[in-house]
Amino acid sequence: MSDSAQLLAPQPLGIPIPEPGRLSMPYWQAAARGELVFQRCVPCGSVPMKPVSVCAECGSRDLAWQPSAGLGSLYSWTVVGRPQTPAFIVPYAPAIVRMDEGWWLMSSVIGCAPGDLADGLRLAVEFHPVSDVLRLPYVRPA
Amino acid sequence: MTHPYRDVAIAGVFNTPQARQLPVHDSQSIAIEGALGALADAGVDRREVDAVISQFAQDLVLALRLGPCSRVINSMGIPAVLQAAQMIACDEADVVLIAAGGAGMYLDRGATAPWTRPSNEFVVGYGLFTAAEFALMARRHMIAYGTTPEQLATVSATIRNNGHANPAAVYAGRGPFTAADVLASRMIADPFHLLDCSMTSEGGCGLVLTRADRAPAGPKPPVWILGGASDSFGPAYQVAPVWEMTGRGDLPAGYVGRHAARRAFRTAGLGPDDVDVAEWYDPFSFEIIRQLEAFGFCGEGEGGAFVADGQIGPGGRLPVTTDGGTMSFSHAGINAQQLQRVIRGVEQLRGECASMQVAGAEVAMCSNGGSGALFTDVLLLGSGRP
Repeated sequence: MSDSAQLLAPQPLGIPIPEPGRLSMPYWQAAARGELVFQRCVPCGSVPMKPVSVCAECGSRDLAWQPSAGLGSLYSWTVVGRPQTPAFIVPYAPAIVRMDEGWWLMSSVIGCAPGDLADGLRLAVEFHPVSDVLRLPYVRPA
Repeated sequence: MTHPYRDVAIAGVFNTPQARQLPVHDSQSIAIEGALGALADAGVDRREVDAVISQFAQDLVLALRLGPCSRVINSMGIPAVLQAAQMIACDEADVVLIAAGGAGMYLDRGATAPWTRPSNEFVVGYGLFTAAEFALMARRHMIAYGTTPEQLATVSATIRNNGHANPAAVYAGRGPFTAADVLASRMIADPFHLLDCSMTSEGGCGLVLTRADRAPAGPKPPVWILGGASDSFGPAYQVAPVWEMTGRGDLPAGYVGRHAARRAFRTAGLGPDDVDVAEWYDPFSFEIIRQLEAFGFCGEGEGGAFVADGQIGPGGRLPVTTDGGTMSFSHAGINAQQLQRVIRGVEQLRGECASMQVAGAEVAMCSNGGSGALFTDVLLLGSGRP
């Protein structure tokens, strides 16, 4: 079992690398610059669960990438003691963050102990490299 | 109105030996053993088969020399059974063979099983695997309703004890377990300890469905499909598994399966009170608590108390996953285990279970999928013709 006093940290290089697609490329390009962006429908304001070309709510194809303030609240989390593959160092804490702009970010919490994780914990996004070109958003207690 | 499945019978079911490893087999060869066993159980000659539904449908047609034969490549469980029934009801086939198997797929034990590891761009960097995905759903229920690790562990102990008593289970005789044993096992993805999680194994299975007037008379009576339906909120393991994500209505993804259950009960003309045994998918302990609530066996947030009262154990109101499920009976990849919930339901209604037979069981409810995977399929089986 994980040491509850141990600080959660970003994973080192060597974990599986995300493969950006055509629709998601702006997300990863922004992340490489250290910026968090999200896609929002211009006419109706809804935010999809993943990048889309058509808004499910209103049918518009006018979707825009917007900068996020990078702040949100912890919605759910788990502390992993048995890694997916040996490339991952345990413990790590995959988490769902309810972003202040009203969208869901899948991420991982760093910079605190597993025992500090609690519903609604305020979090801020920061980026860490996952390859020579890609950076991955993590969240740290704000 | 005539019931849509009135003229469809489940005539044969079979599980091959299940084991941590079956070194002489691959997935296809053990699926063939499942197919042959199901045909023998049904008393149906292979030359009567005119449709095959399987992950290996085309291979089975060749290996068993079934041509000319319909083939449907489908690696689901309950949806495959419903499709077989629909093919018979629509006069596309008189005898449908379903088979599945998994062997030789999980060799690198340093990693979690390959079918549990998503590769989508938005989750791959965070080390997610099925236990973590399902944990993210369970956590929300614990926050909202105060569901406890002890309640989760009660589910695990109950199902693992069912497997302990089942001579055909991979983990036969490995118990008995208490909730304390579960809580003492190492943490995999909080709140799931090792014994809260399904295991991995190898094995195959098969089912044969026939037109009712071709179902053989004899010691193994036909079992009937009373209703079934499927719910999905999207592909598994590509987006954050958010409990309160919605689609076309107010139903949250956390209760995926409620819509399908209501539809299946409507087709059957039954409700939760009519179910004698629940052969539900048990990937992680919490999923039983969730299904109790999703399917209407108790109110939202009451599933933890339901399982703590002993109602899902032997002699309880609703015995659950009586063969030991994926925690103890077998979990040979994504395909076979889904069909095995249906096979156990059939065995319960025939009254032929070597262990944990629910006396006089007339209605069984089977399920596949779960909240972390964003889908749930349900099937209602009966001993009486609808």
